[in-house]
Amino acid sequence: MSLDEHLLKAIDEPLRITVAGHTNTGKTSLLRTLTRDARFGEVSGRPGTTRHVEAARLLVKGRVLLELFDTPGMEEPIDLLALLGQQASGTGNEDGRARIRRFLETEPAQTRFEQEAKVLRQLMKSDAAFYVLDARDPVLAKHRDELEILRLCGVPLLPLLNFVADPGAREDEWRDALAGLGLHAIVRFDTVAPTQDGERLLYSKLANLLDAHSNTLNALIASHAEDAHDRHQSALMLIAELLIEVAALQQRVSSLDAQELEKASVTLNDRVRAREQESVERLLSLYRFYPDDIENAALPLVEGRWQQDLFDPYTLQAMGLKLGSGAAAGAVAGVGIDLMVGGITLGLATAIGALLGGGLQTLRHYGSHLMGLISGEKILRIDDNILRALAARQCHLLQALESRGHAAQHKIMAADAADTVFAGQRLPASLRQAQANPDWAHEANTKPSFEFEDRRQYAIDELAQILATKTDTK
Amino acid sequence: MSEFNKRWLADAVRRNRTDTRDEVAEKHARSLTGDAEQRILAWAEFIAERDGLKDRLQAWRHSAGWALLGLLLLGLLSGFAAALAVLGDSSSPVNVIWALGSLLGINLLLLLVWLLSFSANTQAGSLGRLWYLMTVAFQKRLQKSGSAAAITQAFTTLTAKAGLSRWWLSVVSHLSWLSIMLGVLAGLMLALALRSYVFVWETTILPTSVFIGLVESLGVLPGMLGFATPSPDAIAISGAQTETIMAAQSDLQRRAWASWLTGCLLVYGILPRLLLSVVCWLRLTFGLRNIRLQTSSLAWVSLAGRLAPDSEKAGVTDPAPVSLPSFRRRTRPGRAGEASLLVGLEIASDLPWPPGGLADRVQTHLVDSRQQREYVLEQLGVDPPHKLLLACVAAQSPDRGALHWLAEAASQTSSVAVWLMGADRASVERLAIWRQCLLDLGISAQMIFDADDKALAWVGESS
Repeated sequence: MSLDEHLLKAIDEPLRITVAGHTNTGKTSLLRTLTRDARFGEVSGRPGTTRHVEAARLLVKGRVLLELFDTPGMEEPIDLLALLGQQASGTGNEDGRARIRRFLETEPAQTRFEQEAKVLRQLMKSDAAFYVLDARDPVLAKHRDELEILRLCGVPLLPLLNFVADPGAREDEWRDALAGLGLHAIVRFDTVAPTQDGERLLYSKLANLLDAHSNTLNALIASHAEDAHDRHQSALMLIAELLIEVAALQQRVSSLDAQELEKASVTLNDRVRAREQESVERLLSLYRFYPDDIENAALPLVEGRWQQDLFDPYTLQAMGLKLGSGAAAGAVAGVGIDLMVGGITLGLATAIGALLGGGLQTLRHYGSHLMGLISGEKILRIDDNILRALAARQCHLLQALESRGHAAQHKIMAADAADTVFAGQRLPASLRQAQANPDWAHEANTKPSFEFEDRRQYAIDELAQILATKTDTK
Repeated sequence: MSEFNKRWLADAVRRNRTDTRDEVAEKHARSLTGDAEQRILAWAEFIAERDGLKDRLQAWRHSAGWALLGLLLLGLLSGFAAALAVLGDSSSPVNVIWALGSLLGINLLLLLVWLLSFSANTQAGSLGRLWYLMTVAFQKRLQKSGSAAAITQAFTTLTAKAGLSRWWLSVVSHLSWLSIMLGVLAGLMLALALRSYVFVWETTILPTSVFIGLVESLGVLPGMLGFATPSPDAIAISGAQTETIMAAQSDLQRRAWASWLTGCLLVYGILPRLLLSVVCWLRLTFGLRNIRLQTSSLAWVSLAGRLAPDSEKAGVTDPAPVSLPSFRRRTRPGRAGEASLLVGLEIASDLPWPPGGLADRVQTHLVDSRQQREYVLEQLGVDPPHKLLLACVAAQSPDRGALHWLAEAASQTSSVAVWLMGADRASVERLAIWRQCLLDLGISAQMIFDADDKALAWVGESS
């Protein structure tokens, strides 16, 4: 579904949704997820963390479509319902909204039931409400009473089963109980780790409840789908850029003496590590994660970093990869040595391919390679398998970011994750081209060029497309 | 500023900066209405005007204009010179077929290459590239600032992404060829006006009919525009020995040849290039008008997110109270009776109740609904037990409702303990929260059990 501009223009009033529920069920987490703002409100395992009503707006193309209100948890519904019963008994037949309105004017609404009154006051001003519940909790009398009170406000309620993926979740019990209260539209939504189409389901269920506002919700769904697609493309470009830059990295050494090799390879490896970390941070920020988020528990990272070093042989082993075959492989981990410069290790096919794609520029590099050969210089570059491992790790992280919940169950890198990206003997052509173009190791902005064609960018685009097919088939 | 130039400027501004953060410019852009792209354009214009990039973009366009003018003048001159060289001085007769081939051949060959480039999916237009190199050379020479590269890259990538590189290359290429051909035409007219030429054709192996057919068929299109074609007789005569033609060719026949030559140049040399210049120009302007910044692309996404966020905090609409209601146990000493009582609060139906291993003399109650809560509190008030063990499920979150009832219940007798059932299934954090809440109620730490056997043993002891 694509976003219809005319439809968007026709929407004049934002939809107002209250997020209500018992204490400590994840209301603020839901707002964080829906606003994609990990800094919204305060989240903790302590009950009653949120004691105020706080609003957030969702915008599409500069227009406010949805206003969400985070409320304090209901904590004393049993006594409140009893009070409402006492107040009602004197006045005979009266509808729910009038009863709530009258309660809000009495003294207990300012004192003992101040928090509950906040929720009800907000709910009376809203078009609908999400009732967030912890599906791991048993259905208790307090929950029934709570729903009874909320229903008095006469606003459509959409119960939202949180933590439904937990083995201890009592989904059927809840569905039965909610059906008994006349609530049949129910949505499963993990506020901390929603499934990939969780938000779409949430909004379309809400659209069914609120027929008059279905345009608003459909616009929101369409816009989010577009965003998700664009974000995925951007992430692939980030990964492709990382791989191209790392493939293009080179370090020259004047001899193959062990000490010098060690020194050069440490320099090279450190640059790769720093570049990988930079890419991780850019991916996290693209998906609006902060390294200190509690949600990071769902990612294969610790404090925003990979735990296993990329150049640790066990990292590669776990992915079924081995380090380079060169004689020096033992001495310098993760680095290939271009002995026959521009020849054997790069491969004749690469050389020809690079020449066809690159023309003069590439020829010039070969010239400098030959100069190096004459003066006895050798060139170190990153091993192919390190590139494979990098690609696998980044794609794995991307998947984890896109389906945060699922990643939590297998936090350790799966052994087959590497095989699915760049399997086989040869790396994609664009990466091999990068290996022949050392100046691709720099970001475009830092080294302006007047080249007519941005071949580095072409290579990145091409690689991103390959990555797209690889990540789609998984 | 045209729509394309605005976007070109925006992309140049982005490329010219190492960091896109610019609080003042962002604040300015956010104050305007519009979607992400409109705000980015405003952001860029603000920075470009402040930093002088706008002037440099104008300078870039000027140098591009000068380069194009230079290229066209060069084309005119070289075309003019080529025409004079091909016709030569009138001392020797002009081989008319050869002359036409020389004047049109390369043009038509490159036109064919240009057409073929569509199927080969490459970008032809080598003269367009020449113009580009000239423009860039101007920039490198005249402007020492780094922004020239940013402006250039912005132009090439914006047009390349929109698939327009081919079209601006083509426009320049066709215009250059047009100017060359106009130069040729001018040279031709000058030579024909001021000199007397004799036109011949020569062959070693071909029959005369081939030439008659060639000349006549080439002359059809120019003929429609009113250009003359030599008659078959005149063509045949022009193929004879040079000496005889010099004498035989009448002025009328020579004029017919001149008219034919000019017509062919116009129709096969000038008109196609003119037409293609216009077509490519239209295609280019149409394409440029539709160029949009990809605000969701990696280059823009973070700035777009800051200028036009998809969600925003709207602040606290109903502030938190100074304090929340709190509850504390009130002890009534000396009222303990004989019985031992175990009361389970909000125990799920699937938990074992009453728990196994419980001493026989201990009475049990389950409390969940309001009626149960009231009933048990009443019983406790009427007949306070010797020992009261209150069981809660540790995995469930404590709340004010539960704590309030626990405080009420615990107030009824002096010997009270709380059992956190299923502590092994609750998180450490949640257990700590329960403990803190219970301590706040006034239950002492040693009266809070999380081990089942200890809790049951405590309530089971008779003394």
